Amino acid sequence: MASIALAVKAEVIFGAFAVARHRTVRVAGILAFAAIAAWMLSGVAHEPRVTASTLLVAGGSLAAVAGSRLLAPGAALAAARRTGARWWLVPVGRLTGAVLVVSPAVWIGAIALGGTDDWLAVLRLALVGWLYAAAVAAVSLALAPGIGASPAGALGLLGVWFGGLAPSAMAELLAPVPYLQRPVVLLWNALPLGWRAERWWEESGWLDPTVLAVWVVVGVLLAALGAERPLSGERTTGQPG
Amino acid sequence: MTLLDCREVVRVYGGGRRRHTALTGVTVQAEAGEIIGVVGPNGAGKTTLLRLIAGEISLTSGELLVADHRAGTRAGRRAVGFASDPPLAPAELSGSEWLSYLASHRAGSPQERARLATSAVEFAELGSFVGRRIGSYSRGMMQRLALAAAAVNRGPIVVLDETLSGVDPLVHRRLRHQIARLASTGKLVVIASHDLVTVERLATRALVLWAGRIRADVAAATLIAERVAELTLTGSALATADRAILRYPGAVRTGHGLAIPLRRGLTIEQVLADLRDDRIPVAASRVRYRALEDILVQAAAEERVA
Repeated sequence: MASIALAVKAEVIFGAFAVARHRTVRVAGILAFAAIAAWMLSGVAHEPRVTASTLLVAGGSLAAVAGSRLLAPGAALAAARRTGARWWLVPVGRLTGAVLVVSPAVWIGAIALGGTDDWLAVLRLALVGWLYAAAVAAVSLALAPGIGASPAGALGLLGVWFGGLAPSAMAELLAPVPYLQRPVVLLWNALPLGWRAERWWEESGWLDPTVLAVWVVVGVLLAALGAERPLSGERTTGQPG
Repeated sequence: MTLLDCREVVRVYGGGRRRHTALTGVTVQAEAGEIIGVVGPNGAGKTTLLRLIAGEISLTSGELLVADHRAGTRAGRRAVGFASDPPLAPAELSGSEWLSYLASHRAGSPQERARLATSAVEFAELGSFVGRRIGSYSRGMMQRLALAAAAVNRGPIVVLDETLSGVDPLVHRRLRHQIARLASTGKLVVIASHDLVTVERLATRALVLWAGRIRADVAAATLIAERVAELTLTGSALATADRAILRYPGAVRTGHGLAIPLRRGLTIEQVLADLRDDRIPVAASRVRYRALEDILVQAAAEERVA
């Protein structure tokens, strides 16, 4: 009888290795740290709003790319199917592994940007960044089996880069195209975007972390569905790019 | 015990103008301990059949049971160890990490996981490179890793797609022995290959696929029981060979002459005498067992006539 604990551990390690050892994620990590360093050197980093958005963009970018590797069509997806594991086991294990790799970057970023004067604020900043990164990784994890790793990572990055705009700003921006305005604003309110994490950091409350946490669960469920679905193409792809 | 039960399996890819039927009406059963060789030209449907058995893709219609489970279900996927072509293994992991990962999904304890992974390494002779990152493996190394990964699965069915191609001849010989040992432990082995000699040596039964249909289902014992007269013709004799093909049922052209099945009391002496009467000079002749190549060539000839 196979042990669930062993299988979960194997998936966590698989997720961590797939992320930490892939060149795209390493490049994203270097870019994230470079962005943090640049903001720190520019002298505006300790303004609270800039601090939060810098961390969210850096951590979110890293998480978007990391999440997209976990069920990439090719070896990662084929491995998930061949294990014949319980439906939840692969996405939960791999997402945990990826978040474990992304977490140190978020914590280091929070300490670097938040300063050491108020440890409680740094802790809160890290928690916001961590849950936001988990939600972003879960969404790109869910997208990867269906649309491929690169498109999933690219969509995640777009969400991270433009998601700092509040829904009201989006509504204003799309005022000349009313037929787009309503659906985009609705989507902006529903997705786990950076403005929501920033608002949680600024105002506290339960709604924003709950929405982010719900997206982690939704991402895992959709990823499980994607991993269980039989492949449709004539050939499996080769090694992931 | 029947481990594989395919009934009227159809698989269609795409739709509209891109619609392509890869398999049609495939019916086959196989028992524990058999080694089934699947042969056929490119595009015959070999890989599609193997991927259906492994549960990687779904049926368009028909029924496919693996160890009494529907193919593609969780239980069905756990019943099949699959080495795909091209082999799929994460480039970021080392060979030992990959096998350990797969073993973790089958073992009940860390000790059992280590035992499973170690026996897979020994099975496919990966010892010298198993610690290296998979991204740096050659094709032959990848094939051996894929074989080990299929063997780690404790299910009763092992499916191998071109797994022995690209492997050096000495290791090839030892791996054939290992695959035969798998079958002797009661597993069903299904192996697809373009290497007909390997299939003849290894398989207890061969399925010849052609344009998505099973053209022949031949037991190895049947192949050995049949004889073929192989004649080498040169020069103008090659041009007149068609007369001989029409005279003997099942006769086909080969690269250098003719292959004529020796059925219903026909002997090579009789054939040589007939050709002498027809003034067709024969450069050389020999009698050999019937080979899978003969069946494939015959299928191609019948396809051309059809």
